[in-house]
Amino acid sequence: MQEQDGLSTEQQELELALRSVAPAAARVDPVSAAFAAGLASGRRQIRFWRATAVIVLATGIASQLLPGGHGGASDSPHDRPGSVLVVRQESSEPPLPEQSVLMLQRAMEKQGAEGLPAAPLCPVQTLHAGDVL
Amino acid sequence: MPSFHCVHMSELERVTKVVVERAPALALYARQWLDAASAQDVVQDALTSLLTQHPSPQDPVAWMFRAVRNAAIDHARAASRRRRREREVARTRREWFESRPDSLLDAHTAEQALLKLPVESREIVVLRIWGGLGLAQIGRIMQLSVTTVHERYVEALERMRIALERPCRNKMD
Repeated sequence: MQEQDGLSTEQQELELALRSVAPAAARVDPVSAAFAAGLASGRRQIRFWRATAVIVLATGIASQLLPGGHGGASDSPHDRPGSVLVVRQESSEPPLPEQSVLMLQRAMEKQGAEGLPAAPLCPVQTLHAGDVL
Repeated sequence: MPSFHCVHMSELERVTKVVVERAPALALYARQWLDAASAQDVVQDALTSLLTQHPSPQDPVAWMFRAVRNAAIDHARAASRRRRREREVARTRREWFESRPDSLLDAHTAEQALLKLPVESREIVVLRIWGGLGLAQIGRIMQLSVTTVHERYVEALERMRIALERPCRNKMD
């Protein structure tokens, strides 16, 4: 509804006459506009997700590189988000004998030659010359 | 219950339909600054922009006229002297209005009467008569008060009435 206030009869007649004149036809292609709009919208979404991925990646890298980023200087693996703690269960097998090659190697690695266990030697009898002759 | 996607699509269809119906008026509005071809391009681009708006504007028709106005003014500012000459040539080749037997006014006469108005008054007349917009909508588009729009509209109509009567009087004399 258009306001007619303040218009004289002649002006209202002129309005009617002007309305009867049709503007020249304009070719507007709604399909092509919708296609272009979809394309633009798709591009915008791709840009949004790319930016999001970059931000997430950058945040992840930064959290790994900056030790102070976790509220302290702790380097404990328990404090790192995303780190996996592997707990090895105790074997139910009986422990290896002290004289086994593996145990000897471990003892050497840990404490050197001094860490080697004493060899279980047979008791030595004291012999005197008189006993032999 | 219709899904969000379906509602959005039907909304887009409705908006597109409304705009396509107003395309000649939008192109006529753009022609206040541009030649016929550029005016159509501006309307087409504005429609594309409208369809990317989410949610759709509350008043898509006023939004389109506003978008066309901004784009046409930008386009006209950026045009070089050479393009201005081309526009002048194009303007003479294509009329603003179609000549129809049922029209109460001759198309060329109406165009000449409009051309005699200052640009701002011409804008108001085009938006009101062919755009079918209310004074408040025109005020929002042109950033003028309703009172100013009304005053200029009445003044423009009066000027046009005098301009249109004069040739008849001259012929009668």
